Amino acid sequence: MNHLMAKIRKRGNDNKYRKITSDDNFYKLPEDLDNPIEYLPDHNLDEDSWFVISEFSKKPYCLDILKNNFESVEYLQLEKLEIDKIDFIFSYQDKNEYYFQRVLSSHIVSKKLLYIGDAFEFKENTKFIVINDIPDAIYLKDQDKLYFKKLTSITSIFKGIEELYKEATEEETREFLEQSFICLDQGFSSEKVKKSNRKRIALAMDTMKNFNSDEKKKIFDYIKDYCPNLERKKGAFVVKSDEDLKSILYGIDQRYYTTPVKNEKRIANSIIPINESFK
Amino acid sequence: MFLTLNATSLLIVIFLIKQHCIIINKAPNWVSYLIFISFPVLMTGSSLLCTRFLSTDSIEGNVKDLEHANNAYLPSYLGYFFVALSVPDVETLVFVFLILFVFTYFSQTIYFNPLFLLWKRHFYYVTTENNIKIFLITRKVLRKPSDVHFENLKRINNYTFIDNGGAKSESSDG
Repeated sequence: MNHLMAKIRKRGNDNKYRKITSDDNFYKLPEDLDNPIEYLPDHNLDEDSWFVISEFSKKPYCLDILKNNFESVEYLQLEKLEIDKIDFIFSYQDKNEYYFQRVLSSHIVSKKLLYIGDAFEFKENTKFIVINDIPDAIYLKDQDKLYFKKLTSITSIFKGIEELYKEATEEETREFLEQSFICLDQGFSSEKVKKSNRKRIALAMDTMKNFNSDEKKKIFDYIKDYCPNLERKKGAFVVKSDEDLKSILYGIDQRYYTTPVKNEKRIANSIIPINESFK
Repeated sequence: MFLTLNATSLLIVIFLIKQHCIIINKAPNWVSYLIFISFPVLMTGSSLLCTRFLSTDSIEGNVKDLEHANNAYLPSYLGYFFVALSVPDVETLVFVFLILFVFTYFSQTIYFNPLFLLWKRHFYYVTTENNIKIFLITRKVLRKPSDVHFENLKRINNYTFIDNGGAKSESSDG
């Protein structure tokens, strides 16, 4: 049997899950779940693909309710007064599938409603929750895999999952910009680095750690080749804007390439290591 | 509410019998008594029909412990009977009944009613794997935790669930 559950915001250690209703199928298993991509913070997902986290139950941010067997009778019924406190809802279906959807205040609609069915029915001040066609996350228990499309939309459901979404802190950003191969100009400083570049800095710092000095030199030459517009001062790259910084970060990630036919120079907007995606 | 009324109405019946109340003058006393008793029995039966409108739940077999509770009502019910037998007049009855009614209603766990036994219902305490104890009313005869598997339970309140399914195979040994 299928059950729709809600997690409510509440203080204390009481059980915060409530049962909303049973029997109905709220979500359908998407057909495009095959070929998911193991989560990479820098990957831009295609419209029909999903990120996946394998062995999810072993992760620190996995919910206890997913680790235990599910029994709806263990949970209290959701009271009407608790509707405004709903944090997220999830639907337990076919003894294996859990569909999560976060509930923002915009999902709880309080409106006058004319129901158009066999008989018209007018209801004043009805409250309802909008159920999305596509859930924010899907957990398949038999595979122990969590599927999702956007990490930011599930950070409120799985507390601590944002650790996957690496973003350089202010300190790390400053440290990165102080390195010898970067020369700041025109008042550009770490405060002006935007979110997307902070993400890239976090990754680039990891990449740089694994480079020896020869490899670093190779990378800098490679950036010079592909970014002739990037100014240089005493061998360091001059960074005047977020855009300049992005060119260097793309270079460190080796995203520049030349097509074998016609020799067109290109930037890879999104990358997946090939053996990973064909696992 | 209705279930509480059913559970406590036996008190009134006992009182009426004790007072030798008679509704049909020509017939012997026991005919009237039978009519009195049949009221709560029929009401309980109809309440069983009403449970189909309650919200649905299920138990999928993740049960750690099962405890038979058919006899659990006895002490509290004997209490009711003694109260009914010692109530001197109608006025006292009304108050005693109201107090009992309110407590039964708010305690929410004593909704079970010995009259369900007449409708072949059995009572069980079920403890799930996560140590949550619920009260289950069913027609099935359950012997071990792995027997507990219900697809169509109805939620009477957050602790009490009722199963309206038949008991085809097990009914013989009940």
